[in-house]
Amino acid sequence: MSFFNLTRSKEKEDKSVSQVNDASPTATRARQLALPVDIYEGADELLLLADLPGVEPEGLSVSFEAPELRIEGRRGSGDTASVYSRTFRVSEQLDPAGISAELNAGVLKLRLAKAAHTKPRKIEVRAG
Amino acid sequence: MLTRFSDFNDWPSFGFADFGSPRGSQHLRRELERLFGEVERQAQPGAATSSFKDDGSNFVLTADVPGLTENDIQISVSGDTVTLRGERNVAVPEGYSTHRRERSAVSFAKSFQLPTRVDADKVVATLKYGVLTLTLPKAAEAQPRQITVKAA
Repeated sequence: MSFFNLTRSKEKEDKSVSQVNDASPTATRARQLALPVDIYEGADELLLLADLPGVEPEGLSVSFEAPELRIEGRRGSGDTASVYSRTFRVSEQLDPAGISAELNAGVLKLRLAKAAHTKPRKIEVRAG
Repeated sequence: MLTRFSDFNDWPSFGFADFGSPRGSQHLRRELERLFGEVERQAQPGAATSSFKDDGSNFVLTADVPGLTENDIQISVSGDTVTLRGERNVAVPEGYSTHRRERSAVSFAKSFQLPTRVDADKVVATLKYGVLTLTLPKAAEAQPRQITVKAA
């Protein structure tokens, strides 16, 4: 069972997360850099890892406004600045308060907690 | 350096005429692209992955190595040869299923030659935000020199 799909990749999964666009909508002149991501799913959360070498914490912005998750990173400044950006559409129900981001050695680790009601539940069967 | 002419024959791309010229730097850039090919594989055109500069007294090499820590990279310098080794594994966290894997595992081990000898004792390597910067001071005999012309 799969909850994730990035539409551009034409994968066979269903549509829990689809990519909205690769490029920044504002016609910024800064050079666009590749932003590869890994997406994993656990029972309680989605885990996203992204390579953003050269981005300092101040230059990174992660925003979630259901259903869109946006990652933007700025690398360098002035004429030599370049940007990383990707936007995903997340159809999995998330808990907006349960999102945490950590940047370590140029890798962003984003934890996205699932909303309580979408977590799998185990129903105990009692003997009658 | 003139006495080491025989060495130049071993590196055609650093022929005597190219010594210190932009062509030499381009060659090194290509070497670096091969070196960090694993990092680059996922990259789209325009991705910054590595660069090589000659600022006069130093060669400055930078390379994107996201996810690698100090312990994952080994660097050795001897004379005019730099050897870099590094590895990163991309393991699926336990108990998680995979939806998307674009980040690749990285493994590189490569030696390459610089246009001149460098002072191995003064080489500085820094790793910050997933970017490795290697500053290699040129050996004394390769440093730019100002020759004063004396009046006869």
